[in-house]
Amino acid sequence: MTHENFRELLPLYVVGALDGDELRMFERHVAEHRAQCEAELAEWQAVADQLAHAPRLVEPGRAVFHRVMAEIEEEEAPRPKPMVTTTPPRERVSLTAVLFRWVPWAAAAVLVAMTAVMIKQTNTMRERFTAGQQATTTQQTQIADLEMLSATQAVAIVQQEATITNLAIRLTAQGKEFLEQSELWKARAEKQRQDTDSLQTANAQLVKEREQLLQAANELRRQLETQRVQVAALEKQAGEQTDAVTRGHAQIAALEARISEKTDALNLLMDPDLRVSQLANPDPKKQSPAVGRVYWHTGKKEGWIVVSNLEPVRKGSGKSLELWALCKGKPTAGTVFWTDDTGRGIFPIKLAGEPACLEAFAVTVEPTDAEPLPAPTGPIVLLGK
Amino acid sequence: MAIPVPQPPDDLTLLRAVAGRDKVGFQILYERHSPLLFALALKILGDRTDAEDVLQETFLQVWKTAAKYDERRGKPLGWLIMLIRSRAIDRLRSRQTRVRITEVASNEPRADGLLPGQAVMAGEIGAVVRAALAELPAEQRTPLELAYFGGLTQTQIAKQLGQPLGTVKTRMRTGLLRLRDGLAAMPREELTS
Repeated sequence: MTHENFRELLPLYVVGALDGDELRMFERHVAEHRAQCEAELAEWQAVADQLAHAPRLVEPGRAVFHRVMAEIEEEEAPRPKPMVTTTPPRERVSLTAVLFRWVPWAAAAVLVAMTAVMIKQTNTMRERFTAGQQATTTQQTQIADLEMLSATQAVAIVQQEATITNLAIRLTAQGKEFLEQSELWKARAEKQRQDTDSLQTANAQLVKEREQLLQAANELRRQLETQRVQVAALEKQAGEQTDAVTRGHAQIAALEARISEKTDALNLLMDPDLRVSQLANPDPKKQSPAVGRVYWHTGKKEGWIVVSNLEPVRKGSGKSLELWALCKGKPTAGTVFWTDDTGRGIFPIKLAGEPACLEAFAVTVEPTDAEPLPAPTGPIVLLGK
Repeated sequence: MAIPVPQPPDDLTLLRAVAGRDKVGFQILYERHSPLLFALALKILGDRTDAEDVLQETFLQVWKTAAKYDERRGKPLGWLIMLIRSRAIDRLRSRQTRVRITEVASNEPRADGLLPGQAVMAGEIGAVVRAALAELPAEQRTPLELAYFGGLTQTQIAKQLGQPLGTVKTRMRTGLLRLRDGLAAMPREELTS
């Protein structure tokens, strides 16, 4: 058997359940490995012995202890010696025969006999007295023995009384301690009850507050939802307003640009170095209502052209109007521009080169919608000096 | 003013006194443990007269053999429990009419309605043990009681309960392990002193 087997069987052994081969192997193992097994065995036996506490305590009859003590006393007490009675048998005397055989001597004999009997009785009495004295002595010895025994028992009783007194004192102290402990536990229980009540009250308050908070939270949630809708509407409005502002800014920028152009034009018009050329269709037969005017600053080499009543040439139509500066019939390319739907237009102008002289301006219609051409290809719709 | 409380002599001191033929020590030992030992014998035998006889025999044996007690083998109370349990079970076996411990056990009041922890506080060892026993499932508690209080072996228990031997062994081992753990709350000195 291994020690592990021993440990498995140990709980069964200590409650007395092992039997057969297992019990024999177990006991052999313990005998062979006592040092190794003894502590574990004692520990588990102590666990099993707790079962002995399970039945409720029962006081045995008081007579049991007396019987135990009587047996102990009987075993320890010396064997009493049998008392020897030394009283001799009394001698019997036949007075009748003496009277019939010895009548004459009767009186004397009687006297003698009576004397003898008296002497005998005296002796007997003396012997009895002696025996009585001996018996008395024996009884006195027995009384002395009993007194000694009684004294011994008295000492034992005193010792027991002392023990009982000590036990009573200890029990009193333990009782006092128990009462104090009980009071302490009672106080603790009361404190715990009060704490529990307080906690329950606090808990009820917390539950109530929680309900209120939940209601408040729901209300806030509703308000938040409403505000979220409002914010969404405001954001939409803000977006629209931002777009409007952006558009406004663009319009402002466009207006500012136009103002700037107009300001430049006004400044140009008010400049004394400004040259103004009137333009009209060069072919009188056509009787075109188209007119134009070129404002040219000779110092700055820039100016403006204003046209009206032209056949509309809109930007993106694949055609454009191009201004030309003429010097001795030689054209110098100028600005490309367009009219609106009514044939009106006003554009700043510059020249691509610097002509030797500036005799007239002409406007031609060109088949292009992009860069100015180096030389005119289309018909002249306006011309003027 | 505090009352000086003399410490009662412990069991080992009393047993040594008994070994020295001290009758006062013997009486204190008897007064201290006879209720427990008598209750154990009564539980095993189920008869008051038999239990008193066994108690008387046991204490006579204590008087005669106290000098042979070996403290290395266990506490004095454990020795007393071993003596009376052996005698009670011997008597139970000899009289052939075995008390059905299962019935005795089922009639036994249970755990006083106390939890093990409460029983410890009350300082009542018996209540602690009863509470710990009551915590065990019946299939573990019954074979333990049949063995300890009925003197039955594992084979006899298996036969009486109609269960496989291996099952009975496992349940007894598990039950005692749980009992040990359940009693761990009580200081060992209080349980076995």
